[in-house]
Amino acid sequence: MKQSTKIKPFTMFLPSDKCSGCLTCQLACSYFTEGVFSLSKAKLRISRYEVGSRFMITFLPNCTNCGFCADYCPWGAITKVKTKKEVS
Amino acid sequence: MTNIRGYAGKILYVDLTRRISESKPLSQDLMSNFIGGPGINAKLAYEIIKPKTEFSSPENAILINIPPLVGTFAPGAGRASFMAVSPQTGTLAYSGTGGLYNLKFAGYDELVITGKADRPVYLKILDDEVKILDASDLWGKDAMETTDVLWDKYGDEWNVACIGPAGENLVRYASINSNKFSLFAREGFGAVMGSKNLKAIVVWGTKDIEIADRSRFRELCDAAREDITGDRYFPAWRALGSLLGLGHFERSGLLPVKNQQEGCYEGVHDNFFKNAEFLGRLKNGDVSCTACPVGCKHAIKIKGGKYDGKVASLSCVLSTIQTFGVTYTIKNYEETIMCADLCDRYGMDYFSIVNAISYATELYDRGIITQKDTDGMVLEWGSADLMKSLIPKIALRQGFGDLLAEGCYRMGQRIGGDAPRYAVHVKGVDTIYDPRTPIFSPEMFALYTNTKGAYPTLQTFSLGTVMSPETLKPLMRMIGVPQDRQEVILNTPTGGNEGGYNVARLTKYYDEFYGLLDCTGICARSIYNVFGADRIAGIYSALTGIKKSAGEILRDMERMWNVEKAFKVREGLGQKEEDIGPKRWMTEPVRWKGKEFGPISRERLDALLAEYYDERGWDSASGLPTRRRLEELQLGDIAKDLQDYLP
Repeated sequence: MKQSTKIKPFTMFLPSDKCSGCLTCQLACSYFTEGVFSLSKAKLRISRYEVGSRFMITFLPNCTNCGFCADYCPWGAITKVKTKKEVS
Repeated sequence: MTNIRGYAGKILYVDLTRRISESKPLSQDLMSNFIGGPGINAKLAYEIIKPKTEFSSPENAILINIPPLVGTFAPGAGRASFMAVSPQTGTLAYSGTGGLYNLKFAGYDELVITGKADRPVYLKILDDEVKILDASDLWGKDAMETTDVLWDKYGDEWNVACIGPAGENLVRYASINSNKFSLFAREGFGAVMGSKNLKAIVVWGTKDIEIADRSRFRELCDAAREDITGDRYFPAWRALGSLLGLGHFERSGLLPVKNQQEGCYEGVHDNFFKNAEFLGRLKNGDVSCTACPVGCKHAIKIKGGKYDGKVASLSCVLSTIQTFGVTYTIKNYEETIMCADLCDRYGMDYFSIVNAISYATELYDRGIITQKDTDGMVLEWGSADLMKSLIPKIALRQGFGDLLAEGCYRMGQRIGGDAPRYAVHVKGVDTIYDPRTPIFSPEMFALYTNTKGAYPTLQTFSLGTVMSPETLKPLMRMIGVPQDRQEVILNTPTGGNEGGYNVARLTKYYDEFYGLLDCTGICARSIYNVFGADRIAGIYSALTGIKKSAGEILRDMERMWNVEKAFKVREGLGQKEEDIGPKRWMTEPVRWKGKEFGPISRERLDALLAEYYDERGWDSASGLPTRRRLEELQLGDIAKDLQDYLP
């Protein structure tokens, strides 16, 4: 494996309009990747639509696809599929 | 700052008169002895707000605390706490709701706002950058429009807490809307913001919340989350939110009607407010507070009918039905939602506005007020059109609306004559429940005793439920009632329809357990009953590094309760006469389903109050705290301060 190559263990999917805006995914992300709770350091964002009443999830480029956000999402709004694909 | 984790560690003080802000460290004493939420708020209020400060005075302080578990993934920990002198009670009061969590990520556990801006402003907080900005273009806008403007300007990840026109016009039950779906609704704090010319608070933060024992914290939170999502009622909670309680409320006689003149009508749940209609035609999605797997708030989008396509953001659909649907008998789902939406936009509490209009309607029926007083309007139970026409008039204090904007207690005072005897309130706050129900309980008794008015504990452990020793024992263990007190509670029943236990003495422990939820930030919905005192103490200890047993952290709650009481005692308040409740509860029976339920007599109430005060270590006759109890709770300074008032 080249030094610059990262293994992204999972492919992440956003199956449907299930997000309730609870932010647990962001809190889990920052906990597992940074060791703290932080919304700004989370590697995904939750934004609103339909006059602020529905929620949309966006992964940032620095997401490592570790899958903890999916593990912690209580709504099934993020799911993951295991992969061995190498991504540079 | 010590090595304590979990807290942001700072208080932000903002003076709107001088247009300055300053941050100071949050003391270890406040963290360790008052935990957060109303605990820290009450102690700071005692220090900051001078006795007999008016709600609209620049000297009144807005105290907003983001409790320690908020901003973490502890499930259900999303509640912020608001305290100030209330326009309803005229003294220190409390409200809590989701939202404003970004304050903690901006580096502050606590925001204290004093003074009064010379023109409409909003407060912008971005980490260390604190700005008081012009809000003249927002003034007059409703709460939803205001939120949209500020989200457009800053981004929708920002928290927005704002008032509508009702807050601007100092309606005594004006609410504060937080991110559209959460409401600091009770106690009228929107009017406190309005009195300061403060239209909104917007906040975003980029700071970290650290954890003392990461693996232990995660382990405890994961276990709690599994217990919640594994609960047999979890799917129903998620589908219906607070509506899940409607059937139980109806069956248990917990839905007062027409200013508590009668019990609820037939068919509330089965005929008029059916779950199938809510799920099929009204609900468009679930909305959560932070870290909540339940999501009891609802995005509404009406499908079909008169209001096809109408969108609304509802914090609590059960409250919508309790108030507009049942109390005012508007027996139409869509119309109750339209009333609630209008109320949210203008920024008013559903309970207080409906109780004020219901009170006026009873006075109208009795001929105490007439069309001369109502701007020619006919006050008619069940009229959605009347309700929708009154909501803006109240928010803008136009004509008859100006009287209704005062809330039932002050309306009675203003009208005079026989009117005050029909005002149903405790300490100036109108009430959600009627204690003359088939089953009395600590939740009902707390309506009398809560220092903050007829504001019940929001727990529902025994609401409408006869408690047997078999159900009480595990409950008392869970909420941390000491073993010797459990025996007393079971062996000295108070003899009412509540069952064979001491409802008065148990209320003290309900008070403190509910305080623990508020002070740590955990929601009080019954699905969160997986959090006992032991578990909360463990999670708090793992997060902060401050080791607390259940007994120790509940003692902190007792300390908080005594500080709240002390605040009132210092103002010459807090005596037993305040806890007596409205005349209606003491003198009139209520009829429901063909049966009559008697009033709570003065004799019974006196006996209950004496036991409650005794359990608190207060003076049984006067209801005042004793110097000894305050000193035992390490409140010696306060005891000294109050020496002229204490028995």
